[in-house]
This record gives sequence, structure tokens and C-alpha cells, in this order.
Amino acid sequence: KVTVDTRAYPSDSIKLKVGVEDGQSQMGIPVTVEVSTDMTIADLKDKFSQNFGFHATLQRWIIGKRLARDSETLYSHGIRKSGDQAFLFILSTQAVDPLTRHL
Amino acid sequence: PPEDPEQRRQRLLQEEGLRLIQLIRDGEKRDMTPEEVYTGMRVAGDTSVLPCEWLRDELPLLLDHICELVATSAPPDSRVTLQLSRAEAKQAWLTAGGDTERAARQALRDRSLKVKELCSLGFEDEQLCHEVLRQSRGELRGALALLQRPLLEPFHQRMWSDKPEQPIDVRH
Repeated sequence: KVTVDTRAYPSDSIKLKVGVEDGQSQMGIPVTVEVSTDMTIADLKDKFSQNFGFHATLQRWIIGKRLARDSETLYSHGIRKSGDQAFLFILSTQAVDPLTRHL
Repeated sequence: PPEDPEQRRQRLLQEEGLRLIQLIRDGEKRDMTPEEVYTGMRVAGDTSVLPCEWLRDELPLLLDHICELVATSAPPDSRVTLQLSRAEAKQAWLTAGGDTERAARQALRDRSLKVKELCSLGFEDEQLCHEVLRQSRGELRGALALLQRPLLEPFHQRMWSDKPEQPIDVRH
């Protein structure tokens, strides 16, 4: 398996601002998390799941104009320094499983 | 005073993120997944059409177009007709990030892999495998159920037949 040497990715530790939103929120709730820019979205989902109790499958990460995919890094989406802002959209459980929506 | 490039970068991250959040929130109210809204946004571009409107009005036609691309991509001497369901076309379209040509290739790959899987389970009529996958909208277990149900028909018939049941011999 080919992997990229970790030295090729900058891995600064920064304080990421996260606006937590869902289908009903009028204004997002801001939280701040310590992350490193070479973390993947999958890592970030796990961290949020552990710290705040949102299951990874309910999390959708929005960074700038992009809906980020699990294998991508924060750095690849333009996250560089403390104070940079990402958004977390929490899916409603109905939205996640359309089959049980009408039960 | 002109805006610092760093401040601008951080401001854009926030503003653009909020805009996408709003689109996703609106989409959820209309039963659209974030992936659908996002891919619709990418395809609809910077036109004034909202992704949700585009998804409702334009996507079905695009999905039919992808189905057609796949149907016509079979070699002319092939005895198999390749009819995709809209659900399979949509899944491939999302995976391909909204690129129509890539979506058609993805859909064909996905379908072929599933047909191969069904054949390896003993159902060697490829045309039938394609047909049940279309009916099950690409869902492999559903297709398998459709293939296996007729095999169980004799059991159903025997269950309801009028012939007397064989007495059970407890000594055997």
C-alpha cells in the first residue's frame, strides 16, 4: 500500500472553530476543537463522536464551499490556522434511514 | 483600509460554509440528502437556480440520460440488454460527483460487479440477473431474493396441497 510520508503534509495543531447546525437550528452553536491540519474527516468524525456524542454517520462536515469526504484532510480543504471555521451539520435520524421514516 | 488576505480567507470560509449549510438545511426539509444537495449545487453551478429546484426539475431527466448512456454502451453483438434503474443511476451520479459520463461508467461497473456476484452464486442467466437488479434498484440482497423465491415455489405448493401428510414414524 502506498502512503504519503507524514512529513509531506503540514500537521500544525490549531484551534478549529466549528459551527454546529441541524435542520432546525436558526443559528449554529459554536464550539472550538483542537485539531491537526493533517487529520482526515473520518478522524474528525470520530473525535466529535467521542467528545460530543454524535454518531459519525450523522455528521456532515462543510468546509467553505465543499462537503468534505471521509478520506480527505482538513489541510486539503484550506484549513490552515487557528480561527478557521468549519461547519458540522447533524442529520436528523429520519433523514439517515428513509426506510423507517414512516414508522 | 483594504482587507488583510488572511482575514479575507477566514471570512470566506465562514460565509461560504454558512451558505452551503443553508442549502443543506432547505434540502433536508424536502427529503434531499446533503450529498444530493451538494452534487446538485456543483452541477447547477452559479446559475440562479436553487439546487433543490434543479434536483426536482432537471435531475430525473439527467438520470434517464445516464440510463440511456449505459444501455447504448453495450457492444452491438451483446445478447444482453442493459436497463438501469433511476436509483442506480443516482447512486453512480453521486459517486461520480455529478459528472455524467463518469456516472455512466461507474453505473456500468457497479452493475457488472453485482451481476458477477449473482452468477457466482449459481444464477448464470445474465439477462435475468440484470432484470432482477433493475427491479431491486441495484440492491443485491433484493435481487437475490427475487431469484431465489421461484426456487421455493414447490415448497409453497406442497404446503397447501390436499394430499394427506405422511404420518411421522417416531421409531425412525
